[in-house]
Order: sequence, then C-alpha cells, then structure tokens
Amino acid sequence: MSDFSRRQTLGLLTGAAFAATPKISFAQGIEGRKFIFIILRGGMDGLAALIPDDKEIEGIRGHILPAQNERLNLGNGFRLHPSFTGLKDLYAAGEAAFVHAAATPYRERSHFEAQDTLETMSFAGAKEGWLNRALAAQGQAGLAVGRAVPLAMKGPAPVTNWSPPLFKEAPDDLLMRLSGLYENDSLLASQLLAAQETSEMGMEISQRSARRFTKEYTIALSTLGELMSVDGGPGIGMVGLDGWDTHNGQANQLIRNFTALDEALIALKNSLSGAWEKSCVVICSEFGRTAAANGTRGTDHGTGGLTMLLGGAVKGGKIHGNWPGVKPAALYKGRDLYPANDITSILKGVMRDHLGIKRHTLDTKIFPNSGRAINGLIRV
Amino acid sequence: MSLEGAIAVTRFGLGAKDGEIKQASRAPKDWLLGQLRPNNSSHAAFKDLRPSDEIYSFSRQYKTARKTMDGDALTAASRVYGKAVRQNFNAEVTARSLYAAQTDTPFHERLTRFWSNHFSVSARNRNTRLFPGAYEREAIRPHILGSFYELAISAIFHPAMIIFLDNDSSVGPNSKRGRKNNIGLNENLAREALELHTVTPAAGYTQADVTEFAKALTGWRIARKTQDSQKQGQITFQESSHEPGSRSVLGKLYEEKEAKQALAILKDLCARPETAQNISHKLAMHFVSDEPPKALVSKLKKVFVKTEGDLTALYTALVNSPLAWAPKAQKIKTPEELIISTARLIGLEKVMSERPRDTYDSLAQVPFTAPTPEGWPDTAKDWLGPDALIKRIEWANELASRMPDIDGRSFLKTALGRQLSPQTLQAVSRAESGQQAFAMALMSPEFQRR
Repeated sequence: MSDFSRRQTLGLLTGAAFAATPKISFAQGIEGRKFIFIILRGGMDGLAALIPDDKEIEGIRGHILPAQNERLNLGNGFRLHPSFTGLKDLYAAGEAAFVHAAATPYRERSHFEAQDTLETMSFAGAKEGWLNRALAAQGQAGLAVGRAVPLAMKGPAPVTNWSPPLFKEAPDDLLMRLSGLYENDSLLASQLLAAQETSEMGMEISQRSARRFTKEYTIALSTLGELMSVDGGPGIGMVGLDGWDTHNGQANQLIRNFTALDEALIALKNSLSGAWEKSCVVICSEFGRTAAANGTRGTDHGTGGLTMLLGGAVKGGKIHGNWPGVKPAALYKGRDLYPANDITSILKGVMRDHLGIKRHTLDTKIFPNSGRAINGLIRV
Repeated sequence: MSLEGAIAVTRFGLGAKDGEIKQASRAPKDWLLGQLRPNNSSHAAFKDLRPSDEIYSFSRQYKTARKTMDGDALTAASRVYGKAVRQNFNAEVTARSLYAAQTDTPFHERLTRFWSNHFSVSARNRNTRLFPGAYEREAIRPHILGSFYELAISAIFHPAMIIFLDNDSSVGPNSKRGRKNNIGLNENLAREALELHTVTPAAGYTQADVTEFAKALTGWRIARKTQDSQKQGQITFQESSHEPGSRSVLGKLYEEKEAKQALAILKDLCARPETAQNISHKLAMHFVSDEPPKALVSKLKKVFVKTEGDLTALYTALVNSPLAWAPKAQKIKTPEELIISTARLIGLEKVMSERPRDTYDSLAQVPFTAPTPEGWPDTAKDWLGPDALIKRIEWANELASRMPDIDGRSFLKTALGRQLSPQTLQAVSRAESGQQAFAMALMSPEFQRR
C-alpha cells in the first residue's frame, strides 16, 4: 500500500483526518460535489413508480395501480405514484429527473446476477465494483451506510461502512489490546483499523437520526447525508435498500415502500443541507418488472426499470432518454418494458459531467465496453 | 488432545463443549463419521413445536375469520394472531439454539443447517413467518443422509417452500382453473430451483426453460381441506391447476403427465454435472475455505456423480480428504456460528438476552430470516466488514460485562485445544480482568475462525 492510500485508509471519516487527506484539485471546479448511489434491491417496479399515460397500461395492470385521478401528473405523459409527494415537489423545483425503461446490459432475470451486473458493470462473477473504480480514479475514499460494504464499492480503493451501534461502545483499552492480538491476522487487523476511524462520528449522528426517525430507509439516508456533508466528508456514498421484490399483492406493499422512500429522500436532502446544491443522487434497481400483472396481483422479474436522479446538481424537471411505450409489440420478449436506455450510459454521463472523470478513464477503467454517455443530466 | 481433534470439533462441528476436543482427539475422523446416522429429532427441545399442517390450519382459520370481522373485533383478532406469530418464532429460535448448543452430534447438526440454508425458506416473507422451523424439522432434518434428489424433493415440495416461492398460487393458464378464473403462472419456484437449488446459470438455461419448468410445477399446492388421506395443510397435487401437455426443459422432452412431470424434470436436474459442481463447491466452501482447493471440489464432484448424489458418501469423502484438514482455520464464523460456539462454551442461557432473536439481531443474523431465497451468505467478505467487526467486539464486551465472575483464561484450552496460539494465550493472560480476558478470548483470531 502506498503512503497515499494508507493515509486515506487511516484517515477515513474522522473529520480532521479527512481534511488531512490531500485534496484532489478539480479543473472544472468540481470540488465539494457529492455523488450518492442508491440501489433498490429486489427489482423495483418502475411502471408503478412512474406510470405512463399510455392507454395500454390500464388493460395489462390497471387493477394493481392506484386510480388514475390519484396519480401525480407531471404533465408530460407520465404520472408519479401518489405516495411520492416529496419527489413531485423536487421534480417541480427542477431537482429531480427520471430515465424510464432503463436497464443494465443484463438480460436474464436473476436478482443476484442482475445486482452483480449493476454493481460491477463487468463480467459475471467480478469481485470489484464500478463505484470502487470511480473512487480509485478520483483518489477518494468511499462510505457505505449499512451492515456490509456493497459489491459496487468493493475493491482496492479505500471504503468504509458504518451502521448504528447496538450496545455501549467497546472500551478503547479492549480495542487496543485486540489490535495487538490481530498483528498476525491481516483481515481482522485491517477491518479493525478501518472501523475505529469511523465509529466515533457516525455514532453521534445516528443517535440524533434515530431520535427523529423510526423508519429504516430514513435513518440510513439521513445518516449518510450527515456523514457526507461534514467539512472534508466523503464525496461518494452508497446505500442499498431492501424489499422491492413484489410478486404478490403488490399495491399495498408499494404504498408502504414508496412512502418510506419518499420520506427518506427528503430526509437525505435535509441532512445534506448546503451540500445538496452540489449533489447528484442516482437511484437504480437491478431490473424492472413485467409490464403486465401476474396471476397473483404482483409482477415478476422483468427488464426495463426506472432510474431516478435527484439533487441540486441535476438538470431536473425532465424525463430524459427514450420511451418505448407499452404496446404489446413494443415489449421486450412480449413481457417486459423494453430496455430503451442503458444504465451504464446514465452513470457514465453523471461520472463525467458531475465528478469530472475523463472520458478515457470512463471508457477504459470504469465502464469498459460500454456505450456512449448520456448528455445533459447534470447542470454544468 | 490433538490438533485434528480441535479441527474436528471447531471446523466440522459447532465449536467445543467442555471436554469435547479431548473426546474427539482419540479418533477425529471416526468421531465425525459416527455422527452420520439418523438422528433423534424428537429431542426435548423440539417437542412442543407445531408441525406445518397445524400451522397452515391455524393461519387459514385466522384469515377466514378476518373476512367476517371489522372494527374492534378485527383489531383484537389481529393482535392475538400477531402475538401467536411472535411466540411461535421465539419458541422456534430458542429450540433451534438450544439443540445446537447441547447436541452431541454437532457435525450432523452443521450439515442440517447447511442444507436448511441451501434450500432456504425465510420468515421475512409474511406468508411463511410461522413455517421455517417446522420446515427444517420436516423437510431437511430427516433427509440429509440420503440422496440429493430425495432431499431436493422433500425441500422443494414442502408446503413451506411451495408458499415461500409462490407455487401455491401459480396456475397453468390453460388448466381448468386457469381458464375459468383467468389466473396464471408464477415462475418464482421454477427459477430459484434452477438457479439456486440445482444447476445454477452454468447450465445455460433460458427463460423458456424457466417457464416450462414453472408450467410443470403448476398443480403442486397446499391442500385447503382435509379429505380422504389428505390433511389440510399438506402438499397435494391438484390436477385442475396443472398446465396440460408435455414440457421441454434444457432440450429434453417430458411426456410424463401431471404430478410426475415436475418430479421427472427435477430428477434430471439433480443428476446434471452442474448440480454436482454447485453442491461440491458449496460444501467445500462451507467447511474449508471461501476459496476452496480445486482438487477438493473436483474430488467431491466425482463422488457426487459416481454415487448419484449420495450425501453420506459426499460427507465421508469430505472428512477423508486431507485438504479439508489444513491446520490453519480459514473460515470466519458467521454471527450465528459465533453465538452458538459461545453458547456451547458457557451455556445458552448466559449468551441469550430475554428475547433470543435480539441476541442474533445484534450481529445481523436472526435464524430463519435469510434475506433472499439464496439463503445466508457464507464468506468473510459478507460477514466481516469493519462495522461488523466492531459489532462483534461490542457484543463480546457486553456479554463479558454481564458476567462478573467469568475468567476468560480458563476457557481458552476448552475452546481451542491445540489451535490456541502462544500469542493469544499470552495476550489473554495479560488482560486486566477476567471479564476482559473473556471478551478477548471470544474475539481472538482463533475463536473468530473455524
């Protein structure tokens, strides 16, 4: 490990240590920008979140959607699910954009392989995530909130994860003795070191969050926002939110999920406070779901899904990309929303325009063998 | 005491009880192979728990009664039901923990848990909240010593799995019920049976194969009523839900009719080399290393193919392979393994909080609640992030602080035998108190690994 990366590992997240990390200088004034990647695990039903006005939709799944007059009209052929009141306001303020019918290059229907693809944007079975490659390109350290580091952030660039404490903190003396005991066990030693650096500040923040909020999504996102918005805090963060695999009776389940997500996103905005202006939050799921309802008032694993982009840095109030429609002939394999937009291209556009990562680096290191970046997602 | 004795107890077993390493040291392999006998699953720990058909009837009664209620009566009924669900869950977690903490055949129990996780049914799905304990007792426990195919049948065609992966509501679109009620297929069980339980995507199946297998599986559902020899809540084959016609899966035509169709397909899936590879790799990964020696995997695969999936032969080959006995422990314990191995050392009652699920929840692995149909992950990268390690330390510290009279030094030999390193012995001996010594012993590299 070079001195540079070692210092970063050591310095992860304690404010002073972050400040001591050499600052990267961004030619286009990109310093201070935040990027947050949220995966909705399980296959979020994009056609229930952002409902097209296409008349065919009522025939194939009208009975599992909210009534037409309850949907939140965006005035451009699409309506948000009624639970997304906060998101609707962000959209109206130009701080939320959508790309519908978006998918990774993966065309099968396994959760695990699809999530692996979304997180590695590489061959199946790859062990490193694309977000880690982006961190390496930026010379940055990343932060994941949750009990584990997600695959997208795994790799050689330094990353830490953090979740709220459950018991009283372990005394320093015990930690010191254990770090001596772990001298010959490199895995335990490195994890302990990384953990010690993160715990102090995170705990204070989460105690505040836990008092204010009770919902899991909200605690995760607001803690992430606060950790990232401190002086010298990490520029790249990630959270995975579970619970989106809706095979049966999905209408009520999605009211709960969308309401919780909506509340959490507004809490994220508030926790980022001033940093929101320079933030881009990208929300993806591993795939969308079947266009039609299945026999059990749910939907099965599909292809095209919904990608959301939020934040002050986003060129919002707009639906980007192509819309294939939901006519029978327009469906992928006669059953799924057609993958008209490539999530890789979305992420590439954001990495280039928001974080200033060079096109060559994107093409060769972060998203090898990918298509063209989508332009105009970020206010430049 | 021998090193092999300690390995047998910690790597193949569930962690040492007092005197267990000494006992296993006499003939470590015989100690393990002797556990591959049908087990007394009527252990006292399980005796008051409900079988799955009773569970089904109970929740069906509740769901039927609900329809006639509203207002306060409905609120009261759902409160009673919710309480019963929680009590059932806690009783199941306690029984499973108690059995594991006490059993004299821990290798047998580790294998049971391995298969229960392979054919995972999770209580996270609200339709199966009551089932996973009964499922493990009925579908897994009695079947882990026979052939893989028999185990796969008992797991996949158990009511809990049929509900968990939505086959209970899957109906052939051209079946009698499908045409009449305009209801259709749910392919969840077919997909997971292919991807996770048997051949994995390595077999190169397509969406068409999944759909075909799903059609073959239609009709396998839960008996709604007791009639003839069929009890309510048991698995049954309902012809009027079954998609008519022959099926084609992975290039083979299945002309079997009705109930036999899915079984014939499953039988072939179980016999495929990709299944042998999947199971051999998973077993070696579970027992030996996150990246198991290729030679070990291919040895197991050969045995699997040659014996047509004889599981006892497979375990015997594992135990008899020198590659499974590397002196240095590679596997990081999962949270559940850490808790159980600690319980075997000091007694379950000392490890558990008032609600056992809280103890497990503190380390993010509550039994019966695997996050996906894939079951719990099984490698260090999944279980030992920086935050997870801190949680383990906080847990060990908390546990030690609740036991003022404990002395960690006295447990080291019992727990680790010859696996104990001089460094750990020295560091623990120099702890400032017996309690700190205990927290350090639990957090030592040797006790965190197996």
